Amino acid sequence: MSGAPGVDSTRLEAYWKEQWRLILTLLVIWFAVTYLHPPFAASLNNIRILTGFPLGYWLSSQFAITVYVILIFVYALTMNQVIDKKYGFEEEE
Amino acid sequence: MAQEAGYTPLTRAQISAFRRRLAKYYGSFFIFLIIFTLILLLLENVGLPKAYIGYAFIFLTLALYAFIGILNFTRRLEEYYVAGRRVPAFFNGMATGADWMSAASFISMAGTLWLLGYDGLAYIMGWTGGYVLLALLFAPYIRKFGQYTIPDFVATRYGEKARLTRLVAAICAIIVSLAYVTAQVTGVGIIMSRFFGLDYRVGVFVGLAGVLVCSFLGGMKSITWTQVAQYIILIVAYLIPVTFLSGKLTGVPFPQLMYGQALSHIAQLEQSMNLASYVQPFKQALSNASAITAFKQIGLTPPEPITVRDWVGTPWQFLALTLCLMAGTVGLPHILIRYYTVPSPKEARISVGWSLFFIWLLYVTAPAYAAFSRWEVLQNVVGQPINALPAWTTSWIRTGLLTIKDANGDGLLQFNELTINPDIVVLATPEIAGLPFTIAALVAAGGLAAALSTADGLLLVISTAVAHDIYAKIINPNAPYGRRFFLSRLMILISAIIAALLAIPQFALIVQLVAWAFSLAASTFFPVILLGIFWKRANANGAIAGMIGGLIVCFAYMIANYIDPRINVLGLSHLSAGIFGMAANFLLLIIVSLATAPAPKYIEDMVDQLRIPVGEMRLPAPGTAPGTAPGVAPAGHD
Repeated sequence: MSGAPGVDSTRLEAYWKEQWRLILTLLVIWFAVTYLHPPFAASLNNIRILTGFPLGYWLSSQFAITVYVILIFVYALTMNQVIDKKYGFEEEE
Repeated sequence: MAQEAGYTPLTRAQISAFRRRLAKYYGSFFIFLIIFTLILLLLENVGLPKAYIGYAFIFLTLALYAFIGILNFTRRLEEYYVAGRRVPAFFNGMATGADWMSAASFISMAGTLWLLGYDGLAYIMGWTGGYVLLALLFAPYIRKFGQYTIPDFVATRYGEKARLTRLVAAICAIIVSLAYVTAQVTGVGIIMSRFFGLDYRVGVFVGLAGVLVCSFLGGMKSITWTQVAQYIILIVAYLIPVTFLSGKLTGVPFPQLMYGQALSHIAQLEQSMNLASYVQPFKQALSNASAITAFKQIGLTPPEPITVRDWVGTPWQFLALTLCLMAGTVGLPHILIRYYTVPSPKEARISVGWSLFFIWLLYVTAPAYAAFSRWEVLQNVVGQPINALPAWTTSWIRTGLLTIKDANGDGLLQFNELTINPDIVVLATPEIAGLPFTIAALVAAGGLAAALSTADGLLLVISTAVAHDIYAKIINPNAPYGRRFFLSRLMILISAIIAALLAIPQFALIVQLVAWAFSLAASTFFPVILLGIFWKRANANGAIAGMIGGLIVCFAYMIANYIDPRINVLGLSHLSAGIFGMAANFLLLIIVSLATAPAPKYIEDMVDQLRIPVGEMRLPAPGTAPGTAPGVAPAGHD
């Protein structure tokens, strides 16, 4: 299978929709771990976690960036292993 | 048209054999690096002079890069521009890591955190979070498009005015990359002069030779395989000193977890010394100090010093800068083209994950460097009698990176009597941890690897923008194959020399330009590529208006705020000017596209094809008029 002409458009549309649901969900998480905590960093810093990290500092320096790595792998694996397969977009050979 | 014959994808058996071979090569290289370091440690113990250890590291690494470069000599455009599109996701991730992490990430980022505290975390989140956007919204589609350069993408997608869009995109790519590469060359010169006692200018040219040996002969193919080796060197060099330091200070050699302890100690010490809190957010005032330095250096009359404190304590600058750096990441051509080199869109998705994982290793460690050295300075340097400072300080005072001045004449060192150059944080850590010189030389080799690998990627972008986009696609589309190659190599040489000449005077403005490169990329490529992929209605008129308008708005805010910080919106500094450029680009792109005729049918079909993650793109044959049926010329073979 290759190129748009051979793919029927309802299947492509459904595929596209399901893919967007995944992308938007992940983007909401991305937004939350990036932008929701810094405005409250000063008060969050009063809480200490793990070996003594101020919470506000830790959320930016470790939590957010670790979530980013996980988000990308979740996206890539869900797309490659689940969604692409469901709609028949699998590698040739 | 220059045609390339017989470049076929590998079969499955060939691919797995290729992967096994790569794993074996780089695995043995890693072991060799460790053994080599151990041998030098032994030799240092029996009295080998420091200078020789330094030279051993430099020449070993440069020889290795040259070896990989020569091994990957190529006469195929497909290999020269996109490494044959055969780079497995995992290794492309390592190469992207090295491509991404420059001298600034390796040497200066920990120091920036040291100085800025919480506010510096905008760089940590901004320079990693962009990869989420890259994975979800860009990389698989860029790969599906399957071209050679980013201007290729823009010109093909906005094909109604292919030449103009290509020219504007090529110029943007050159501006962004040239500023960036000059800073890398400056970094090379600094490392060479500081560690190996070479003259700064000699260091610049030795380093440049190192860049040229990898990119000149084999283009993207040799750059890729060199960058994988460079990643291994830089990450080993970055992790070793701070791991030892963590072991020494806390008893647990796990810096990423243990620097929480350092932060607690810092807080107590700050309280007892009445210092501002390190983790307190949003402390930065707006000032034009950097503009004054830059103006003086170029010989212009500097503006009056102005400091604006109105916005201290508000989060706007932090949030805007984070967004700007993220959008800029996704707009940087030298990173985007790395996703042309993987075999398929599916590999591209996974590859971004590996890229960020390899980058994460360094970024999650940088704040540990900053915290441990701040603890060390507050505990053992500040408050001590000036004639009894720890041993590591003396050698750095000699280099001028650390200055102390007993302003009140009490014989004790107060915090405000101490000035620290941010670069010292990573460079001095081996000594603070009491490690032998061999480790310091390894760190220098790591810094060199970081600078060279980024410079490689950038030089390739500049040379292809000129040789491929401007010459072969706009000026002389019938250029013979050999001449394109010749021109590509010539451009690498010329842009390397230009970068070296710009780097020699060490303009403060250059550092500024790098910070601005992200804003510029966010204001030009980010909206145009994003809407190009996801919005069929976006057309060439909109893209041209968007890129030019974004560039102008971004520059205008930058320059105005840089010179007079009183000109600002919500206290955003010139570093976040990309927010405004990006908004202008999106607005213009949408309004102008809607006001003019929709893109022709063949472009809409192209966007439809983009959404299918398998198979190669079928693009209209070059030269077909808009509206005619798409031809069958496969991507990248024109």
